[in-house]
Amino acid sequence: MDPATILLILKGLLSGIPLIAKEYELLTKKDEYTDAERAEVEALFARYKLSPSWQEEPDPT
Amino acid sequence: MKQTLRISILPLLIALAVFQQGCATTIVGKGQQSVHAAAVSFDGFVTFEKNNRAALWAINPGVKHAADKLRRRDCETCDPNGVKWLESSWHLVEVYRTNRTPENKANMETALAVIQDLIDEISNYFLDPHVAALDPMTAVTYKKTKIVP
Repeated sequence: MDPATILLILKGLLSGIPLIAKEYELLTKKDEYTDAERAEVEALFARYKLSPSWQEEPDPT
Repeated sequence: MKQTLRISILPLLIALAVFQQGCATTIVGKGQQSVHAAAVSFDGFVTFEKNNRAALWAINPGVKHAADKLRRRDCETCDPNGVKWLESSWHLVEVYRTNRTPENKANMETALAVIQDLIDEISNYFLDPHVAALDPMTAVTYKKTKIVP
């Protein structure tokens, strides 16, 4: 991992955002996801379906 | 808005850094992390495109079209979108988790390869310095993303 990436990660973690800390925990764990963790990922999919960023819009003119 | 975007892609930075290091995670755990990282990656990309649409459209309309490929469509018979690919891949990881046969493993790996292809397609847009300049951190993230174990 290059130093710039480490710095960026640390900056994010130090910003104290619980979501980021949770993502870090899940994406670095060595074991399989627990039932609750799997449910969290599945909840992400559901959230994306409703997110404005995920709605198709017409091309700009 | 820029700060929000940077926050949204941070988990992906973490994910790709972990995968580059090749931590000793189980096959199922890796599969779960791969789909999870792809989800974060797709979300970061569609958000990046939406937040920078006017500038990106002027640079390369293909960026919006790639994002649209991931987005929801109100059509049951349309090609699957990003969330469907994620759900399908996640399901196949779950099938292998509960029944670890070679066939199920192969199906899981095929599904992960499909979402890796999508990541590769997205990443290619960030090779354009004009696109990358809109958010250098995002560009660095996608240039390095390799999710498949």
